Amino acid sequence: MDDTILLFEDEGYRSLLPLTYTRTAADIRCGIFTLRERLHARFGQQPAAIPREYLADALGAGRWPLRLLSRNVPIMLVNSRLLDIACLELLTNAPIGTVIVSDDNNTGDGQGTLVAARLSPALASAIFVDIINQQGQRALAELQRFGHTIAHRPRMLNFMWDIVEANAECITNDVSLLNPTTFIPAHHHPDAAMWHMQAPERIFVHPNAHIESPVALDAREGPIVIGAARIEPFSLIQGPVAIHDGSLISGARVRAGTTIGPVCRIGGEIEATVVQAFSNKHHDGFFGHSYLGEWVNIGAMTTTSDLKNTYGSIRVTVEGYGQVDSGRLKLGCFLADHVKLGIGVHLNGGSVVGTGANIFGVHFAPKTIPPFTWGGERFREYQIDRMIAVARKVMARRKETMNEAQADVLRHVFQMTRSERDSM
Amino acid sequence: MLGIRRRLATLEHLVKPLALAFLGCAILALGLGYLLTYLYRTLTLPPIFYYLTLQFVPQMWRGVLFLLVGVGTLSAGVWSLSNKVVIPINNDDRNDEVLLDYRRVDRMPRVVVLSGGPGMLVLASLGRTVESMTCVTPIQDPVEYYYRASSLFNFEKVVFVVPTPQPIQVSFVLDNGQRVRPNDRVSQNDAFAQRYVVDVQLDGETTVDTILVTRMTIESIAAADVIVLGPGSLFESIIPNLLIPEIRQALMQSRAKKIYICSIMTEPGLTSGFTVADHVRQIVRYGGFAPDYVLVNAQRIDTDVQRIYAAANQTPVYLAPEEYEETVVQAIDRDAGSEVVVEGAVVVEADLATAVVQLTASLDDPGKSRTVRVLRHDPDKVAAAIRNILRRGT
Repeated sequence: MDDTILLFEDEGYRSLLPLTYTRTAADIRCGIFTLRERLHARFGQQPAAIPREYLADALGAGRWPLRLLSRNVPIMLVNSRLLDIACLELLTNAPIGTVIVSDDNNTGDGQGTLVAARLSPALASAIFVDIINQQGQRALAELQRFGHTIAHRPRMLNFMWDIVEANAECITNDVSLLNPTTFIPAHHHPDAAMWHMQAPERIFVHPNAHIESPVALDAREGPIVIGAARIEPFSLIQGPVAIHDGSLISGARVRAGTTIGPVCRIGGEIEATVVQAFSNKHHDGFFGHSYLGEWVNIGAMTTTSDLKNTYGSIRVTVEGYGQVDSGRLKLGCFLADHVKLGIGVHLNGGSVVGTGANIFGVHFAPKTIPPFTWGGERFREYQIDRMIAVARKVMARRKETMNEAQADVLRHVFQMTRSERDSM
Repeated sequence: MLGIRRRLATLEHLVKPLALAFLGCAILALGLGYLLTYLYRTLTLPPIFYYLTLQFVPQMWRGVLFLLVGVGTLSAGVWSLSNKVVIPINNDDRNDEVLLDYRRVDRMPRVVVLSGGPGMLVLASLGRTVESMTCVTPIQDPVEYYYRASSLFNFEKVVFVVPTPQPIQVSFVLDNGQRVRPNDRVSQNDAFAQRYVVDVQLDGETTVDTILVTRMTIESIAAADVIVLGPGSLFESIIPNLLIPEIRQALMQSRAKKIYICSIMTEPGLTSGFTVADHVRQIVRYGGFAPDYVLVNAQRIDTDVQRIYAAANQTPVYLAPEEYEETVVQAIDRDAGSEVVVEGAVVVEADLATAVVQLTASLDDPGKSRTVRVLRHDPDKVAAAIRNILRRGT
């Protein structure tokens, strides 16, 4: 496909805050891939993106991406919150001006959600400012004047719990996009004879995966995908599960619906949880139906609840909505990037911890913790320079460097969220 | 409540000095109190002091009264100060600067440009000093060309928008009745050297009533503080968009300052023999409005350069004295009392051009490429001239 794939954000990114403070919705992992990776795997080209202005430099997108419309080829505009990319097949050979609209609208107003569209550069120029400003509703209204719409309701990320809800299905769907030369059927691996496997035909491993027996890989309920990771003895992995390159599973119970992103360390028990990347939950403790961002560290015995004793549905604080009933019986916590939780912290179901928060010395953490919060018994604002200094140290341990653009993103988010910490 | 908190937050860097100042005031008041008490007890005061010192009010209520008035005065002072103090310029504490009694800068202007490719690139440097700059491309042009050219320069705040999603071709009727189109490159054909356009029309079956204009085009014109027409080919880059009624209507209704940047040289086959007034007349004819200002190059052109242009059948577009003898009317611009007005547009003459060496190449015969000295609108000079106009009153 020659079309330029262009990811845009609409108003809906707000209902995914604080997870989307430091990344676009297209960079949230759900299933094996993020949307950006999924499109790359499906269409063989790295999609371009128009992120929020303060994220542009850190994402290498440029502050004012004029070049995106400079090629004389159609533009496939894709909403960053899209999960199920099968609907894009409707656009691959569709006439210019075809617009996919979903009636699933998490902004609570307007005429629907702009899911994707196939546009000429000229038509894209007519909504360029709208998509730079995350005004999906305005862009949709304009495209409906000039194009023709297809009503479709693909799975999208509307609220944070959709990540957890969709993860198992996305892992299963993403298996078809795996590179068959990178992931081989498990029984082709030289060490396969030592593993205890159920439904081995649904287990795919990287040739460099280091899996030490005794280990149980149970793919009866869904596929298991293991990259160039290390699985230590006495681990139990129940599909659907994806474990990315560079991660370490330390005798953990990794239950169905879990994705472990690149370079993570996982111990204890984890279930139906997405760990974005570079995060540690290395010790005992349980995380279920949760999302952990990048560079998160969880102390020993820190645990989240994912089920109320009353078996009632769990409420979550959502930006712009306040407390929202998720309608889910099982829901854990949502930890944004750079969150650090000390030892023995207990989190209620539906807890949301903001970017860069450092929580310790508390038995039960509050349900909603603003970004850049420091403390436990008493909370204070985490000084941004100290927070960045710590983040640099943490990243250096994984041979990563925080560049100035990334540090600027954190500073920007710190300023943006200042009012959230006023009540401390 | 949030507004009050935000306003007071501007004082956060003055908390210590203010607290120290208040403490000083309190100690001062205490000292004054002791002194007055001493004087009151040692001196015999006239009876009027009984009333001045509120002795008819019980002592406790007197204290409460003074406390309330004091707190009220203090709050009013802090509130007033919070509006005169701004937050630090730099996040780095060591480089903090605090401005007292600052004045908010005026909002930067929103600019709309109607021009062709090179003209828009000339003006794009304005993008650094504006709130937004929307360039409406000619209806017959592909927008990719503009994005490709501008992406080389890393322009910010500049967007290019098509007036209609589908290009619409235009054609010109020349003074000899012949019909040509922009793609015919009449300006490079000696056969048309002395010709000029007498009419511009939308091509083929296009009917103006059915044309849907992009919302961004209309909204940006409506919200603009300045609308710049040109620089660029009058008939190829500016007039075509004026043929669309919705755009014409938006331009006429806009309260923005409208500035037309007149061409430096005539274009053979299009504007041969045209004067400044002829150019402005075409804007009035097709746009239905007169620009508020017309920017004219006043720079003396070297005879060498003139000779090159003459060989290509081009002559400078100056404001001829006999022309404004015919067209001078009372200036409406309070700063332009002594300036010339042509067809309702205040003429602003300025040095707008720079001679540059340009390589011309032929796709048909690449071996025929050659370098020539040509005059081009200078981005910095044009931007400066526009900024000068913006500084004028309305």
